Amino acid sequence: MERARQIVTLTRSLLNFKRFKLGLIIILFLAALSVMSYFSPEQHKWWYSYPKDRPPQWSSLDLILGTTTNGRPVFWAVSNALTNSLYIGLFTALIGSHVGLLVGLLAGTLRGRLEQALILLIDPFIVMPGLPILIIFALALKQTMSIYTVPIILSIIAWAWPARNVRSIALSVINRDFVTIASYSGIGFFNILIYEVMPYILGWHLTNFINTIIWAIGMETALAIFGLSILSEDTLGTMIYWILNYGAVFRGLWWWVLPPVILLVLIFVGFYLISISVSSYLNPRLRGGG
Amino acid sequence: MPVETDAVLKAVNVYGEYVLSPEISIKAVNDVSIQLQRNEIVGIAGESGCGKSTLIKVLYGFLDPPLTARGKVMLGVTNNYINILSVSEDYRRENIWWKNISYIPQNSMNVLNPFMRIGDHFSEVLSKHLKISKSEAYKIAEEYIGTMGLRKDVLKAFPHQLSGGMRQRIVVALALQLKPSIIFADEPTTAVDVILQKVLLQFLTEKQKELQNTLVLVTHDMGVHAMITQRMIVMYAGKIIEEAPTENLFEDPKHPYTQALVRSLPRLGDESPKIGLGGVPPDLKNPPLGCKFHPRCPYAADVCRKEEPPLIEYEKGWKVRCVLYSGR
Repeated sequence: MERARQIVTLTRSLLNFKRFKLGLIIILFLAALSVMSYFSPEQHKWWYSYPKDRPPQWSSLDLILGTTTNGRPVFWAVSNALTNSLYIGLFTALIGSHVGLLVGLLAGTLRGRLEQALILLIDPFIVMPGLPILIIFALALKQTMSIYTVPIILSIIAWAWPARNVRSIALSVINRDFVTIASYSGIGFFNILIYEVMPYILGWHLTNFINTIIWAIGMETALAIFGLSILSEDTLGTMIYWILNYGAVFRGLWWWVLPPVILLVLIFVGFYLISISVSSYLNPRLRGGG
Repeated sequence: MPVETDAVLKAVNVYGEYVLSPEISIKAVNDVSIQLQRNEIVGIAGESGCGKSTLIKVLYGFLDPPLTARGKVMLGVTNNYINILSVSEDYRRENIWWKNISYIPQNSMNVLNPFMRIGDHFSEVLSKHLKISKSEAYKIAEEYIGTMGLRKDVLKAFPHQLSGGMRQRIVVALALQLKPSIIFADEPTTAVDVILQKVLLQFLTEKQKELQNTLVLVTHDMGVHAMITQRMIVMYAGKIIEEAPTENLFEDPKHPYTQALVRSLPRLGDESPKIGLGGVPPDLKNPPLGCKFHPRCPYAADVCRKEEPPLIEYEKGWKVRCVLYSGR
């Protein structure tokens, strides 16, 4: 009951931010579009099941965004691509940011050798440029690439930034007076982590989570443009790969080029707006009192 | 040392060292023995770095690396004595801390968790120690806060919504909520203006009278000692150098260091210039031979540079560590 009321208050105070409202509208629009992909007709995957290079026309939903050079409806392709991209983003964020949370929390609160070892593990992953490493991994794992393995490959890089971020916050919190007093009063290490340190980190964790979604979708797109993603499935990145492959930009097929690009921009803007409104909400002094 | 029946805590030859590396260690507490009686207020005085806070940590059993401790700290628990330093940390956490000994920190108005309401501070500690649910604990906390003379609605407030004096009283109330037999207050009034100081000290002494427990007050503020403590312990370089009833100590201090300490206090109508004590406190990594105070002592003799004087009983309940009183 208490929990439910807290969530209602949280949503309500978040909705006071104009940026949050705008971000939420964008994300809801994207979600609706991606849900539509479950109703896509079976033949949307087959090549030349529709006339090719057709501009948008209102006659049916299939042709509302025109067709591609392969004779596939752009609308269903982009809807499926959005679902898959969001899936990759969410799955990477679920793995990467949580591994980061755990490692960062331990690196921030433990002392001695273990802390040193964890830092030695985190830092190289931050300094190493991500894309070349991902290209090598993607090349090596090309055969087994599927919508499930791409997030795992991306997570190899994705955990390090959240880990460093969480560690810095944990370090500042663990040295505050109230944590010392909590341990003086006989509260154990794990309870201190959960009750004293976690409230500070959770908000940042949410921001990290959202940022990892953005990062993963961008990274998958970058990999796909090099032709290293799952080319048999639609993702926003592979769509751009095929667009480039068929010279759609040069040939002026704007109805094929614009949808994935606009959706990518909307994903970035939508999640970014939510992420910054969450970060500005994090200061408890801005919340209603009592 | 004869064991008195109402001693709640006996520390026997306690050492506290900060081991920084195998070669370097700082002996912050060096062979200290003290006894705390039931229902008394004891003050520990001394300058910064003399080992006051470390002594409190060792007596409390809070040994955070690099601090290590040796010796015996016997805590009286229901007709029995437990050595705090030899039991496991989990045992200390479950059965000793906050139940038998509690702690009021330095800068006490800023130690509450800003993310938690006051009530949750109380119920968290209660539910952890009494193994009851949070809602039951909250009910107990509501009753308890009334007996401490605070209004019930502070439980719903966040720390930043309360005044500094209120927060300090809440910290004291938190420390006392399981009715511990000993309270350590580590410089509770430093960095606080005199009005808040008075409010806090009055609150502390009132509650001490009610609960009839032992209050150990650590501070370098001699005014605070003169105002509320009954017995004083003066430390220098990790050792007790004088232990006496507060009134006697202020009237006629024996050890040259205590004399300098008491002389430094301004008195009404006294217009003579204050002369400070020359020199600096010794390096605890590498303490001087003999009496630790001899480089700064105006009465230093040859014997002081060679041998450490023992802590001798000058009168009953009045001990001093100086060759001037060893009858030689």
